[in-house]
Amino acid sequence: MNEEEIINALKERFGDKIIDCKTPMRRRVFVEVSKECYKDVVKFLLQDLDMKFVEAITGTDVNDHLEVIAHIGYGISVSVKTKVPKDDPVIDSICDIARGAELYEREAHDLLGIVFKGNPNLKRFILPEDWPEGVYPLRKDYEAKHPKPLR
Amino acid sequence: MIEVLYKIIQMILFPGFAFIGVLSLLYEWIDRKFYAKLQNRVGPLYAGPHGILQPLADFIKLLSKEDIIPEGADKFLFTLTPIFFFAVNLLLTLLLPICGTSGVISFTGDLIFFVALLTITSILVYTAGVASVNRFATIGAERAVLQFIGYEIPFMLSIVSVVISSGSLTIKNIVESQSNMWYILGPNLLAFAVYVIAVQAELERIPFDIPEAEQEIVAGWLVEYSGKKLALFRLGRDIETLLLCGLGATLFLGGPLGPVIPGLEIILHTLYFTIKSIIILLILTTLKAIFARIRVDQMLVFSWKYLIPLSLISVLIVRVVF
Amino acid sequence: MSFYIPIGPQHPVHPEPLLMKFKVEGEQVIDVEINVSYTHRGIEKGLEYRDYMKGIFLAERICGICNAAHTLCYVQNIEQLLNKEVPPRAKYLRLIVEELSRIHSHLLWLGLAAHQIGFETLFMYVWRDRERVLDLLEMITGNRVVTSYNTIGGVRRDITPEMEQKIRKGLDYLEKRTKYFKKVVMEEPTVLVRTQNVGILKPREAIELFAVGPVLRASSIKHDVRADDPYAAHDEVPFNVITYDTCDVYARILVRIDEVLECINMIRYSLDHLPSGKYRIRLPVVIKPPPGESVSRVEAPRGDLLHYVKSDGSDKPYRYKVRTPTLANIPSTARMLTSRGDYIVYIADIPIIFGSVDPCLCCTGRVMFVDVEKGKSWVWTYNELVKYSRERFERHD
Repeated sequence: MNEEEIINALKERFGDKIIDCKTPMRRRVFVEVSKECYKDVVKFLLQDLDMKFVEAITGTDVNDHLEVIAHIGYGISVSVKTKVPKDDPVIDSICDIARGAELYEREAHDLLGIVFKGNPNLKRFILPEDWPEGVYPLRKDYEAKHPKPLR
Repeated sequence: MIEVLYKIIQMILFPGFAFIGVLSLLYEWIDRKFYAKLQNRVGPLYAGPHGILQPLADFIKLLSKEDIIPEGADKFLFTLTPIFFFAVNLLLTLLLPICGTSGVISFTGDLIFFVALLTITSILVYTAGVASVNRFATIGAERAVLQFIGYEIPFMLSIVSVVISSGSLTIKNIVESQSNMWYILGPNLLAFAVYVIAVQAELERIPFDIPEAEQEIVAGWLVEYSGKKLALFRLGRDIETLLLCGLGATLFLGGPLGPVIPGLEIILHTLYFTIKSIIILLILTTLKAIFARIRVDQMLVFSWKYLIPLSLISVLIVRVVF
Repeated sequence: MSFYIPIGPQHPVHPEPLLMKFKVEGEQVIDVEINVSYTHRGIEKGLEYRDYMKGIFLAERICGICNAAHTLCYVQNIEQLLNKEVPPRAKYLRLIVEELSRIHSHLLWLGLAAHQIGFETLFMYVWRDRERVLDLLEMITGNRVVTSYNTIGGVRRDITPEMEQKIRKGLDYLEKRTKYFKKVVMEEPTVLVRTQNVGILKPREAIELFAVGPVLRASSIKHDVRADDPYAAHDEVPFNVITYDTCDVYARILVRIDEVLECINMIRYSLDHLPSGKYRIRLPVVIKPPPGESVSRVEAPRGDLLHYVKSDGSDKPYRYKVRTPTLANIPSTARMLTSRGDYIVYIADIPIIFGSVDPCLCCTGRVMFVDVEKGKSWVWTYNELVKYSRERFERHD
């Protein structure tokens, strides 16, 4: 399948739930969907279009909301983006259709505070055990303190 | 009185403790250098010309390190084991015929005495592991004992072949009966092969170094030893190497025998003895370099399936011939 | 009741820690829980504070050995954002350095695997030959390990015809030695006994758990970023994707050795067909790409590496995400380390299995054992584990 076919298949299946969809360069497709159909889109890509591979899950802090992006695909990389409000950062987990994505979701939870509903194991992943709760380092309001140079 | 004094000087200086100390460090250097060359490396290089003082430097360094006794360890056994290990090995070197056909100490049946005390060193390894109450030391000690079950019988049987050939249990007589032909050039060749393999296992070198170097850096039954105790263990191990190579040279290669010029006997005998035991050492080092490590069970299987039958065959051959 | 054993010394080569909690019953491993509390250096946050050119140096230090892959991925990302194409010569030069660093990484790993099995001589030989690769890298880039060769717009240095001659000679030597090592691995009985039927990962599981790299290819799945999503000059340089179907540690060793031979052929082809021209396009020092996003993928020696960047028009990235291949392999590692049905994993096998995944986060782990039966737990280091491995392994064979 090439990029055009993927976009057409998505549009055909999901119609207007797809907010935006573009191909800025070859073998890359960027799709933005709403929160509710995020999991269905991922499932469609993994199973019906047989892309089989979730490569990573990225979380981003855009000023008034959080974004979750799932990168899918072996050859062509489809990035499915969805927005999540900051005061209620809950989104469906894709762990039941993609077992290996559990660690990626844990990382996003740890660093950004996104809650993946349905993830069986949403514990501390990267940050040390004594890191305070509720402080999410990758959010824009967290200032990284530059360590002082040693003398 | 003079005789006693003379004997004491022999025991302490030459060919006794001091000489053995120097020689064992030299053997360790030869072993390390040859092993390194086989692996395409350089080996010790800087301490002294060609790194010949490296083993001495290592020994002195260990003496100066902190000596820690773990809290749960059996203090008495923990402290005494390295001393006994070192002492027993050192004592046994007095039996080796270095500068003549008999060693500094020689009596009837001293070969049995020799082998019996060697067994004590193996038991001391087990004691060392158990006395340091650490699970890895215990496991290492357990493996050492398992290995002991494997190599001890072939070792003794290969010596039995020599005993049958010479008809005596005294080292002096064994050496003298080789004045026509060394035992290795004869029906004792198989016994020699078995002896070499058994010695490799006794010295805990690759491919049989399961008890000691299994944890590459954390060292098996030696794990809790540090400082002076570790230094004594390592020097004891070097002396044991010298001991077993020397015994091999005595039993199979004719010991210090060789063409002599009257007047220079002592020097020439010592020279022959040293050269012959170095040959055996080089064989052991080659074995160390060309194999990978095998597991304890494989070692036991190998020993009981192959080594023991071979050594029994060699005893039979020798009995038939002699 | 639980007691802890004091932690032993570090493994000299791998620098990063990983905690795995094993549930054991006697000597069999029933379950494992991986707890990645590695030294999180906050590189993703750090990249948001640095402009794009400075970010190359930070991206390079994500991993010491795969640094060529990381820089390549990073600069490709930025070039995609800027919508600029690098000149063809730069693509080929990037390929050459990337493949050389892949050879380096695989040879280093082979020596370490031999060391874990106890084959010291092979370890010494392989690491001596690895020095040849490092000499070639030093000649081309000026550094032995952290090459700093890629930059936004191309590569930093060119190679001269004398360098080409030396590279060819070095490659001939490496090919001869790698073929010798392959023969040793395939014929040495102790190696075979330690590695066959150990650490099995079935193909279906490999796909489900999203394994990448040689782990995936040793389970007979034919996926390689260089073939599926070509970058640099990989669409013009032919090569074979190596797969083996025995799905065990032995297959992983062979996959990596064969990949080294493939890399050698690829470098030779690229030297033969090296286009002439510029090796770098000049870009302004302060780069301000238009707002947008980009995803870049590269086949690092350990697997599939992904970088994602989101730019907001300023000279610093708004968000930069790195997903390393070892992180993707962790669920597969956990799967390989649990016994199920007829397939039994002994504590003794753990170092070899874990090593066969070629973790870039290291193995000087603190491995925690929880003995279900006896209700006690203890902590070992990697070396203590390796030791235990040698001892207890054969009892059950």
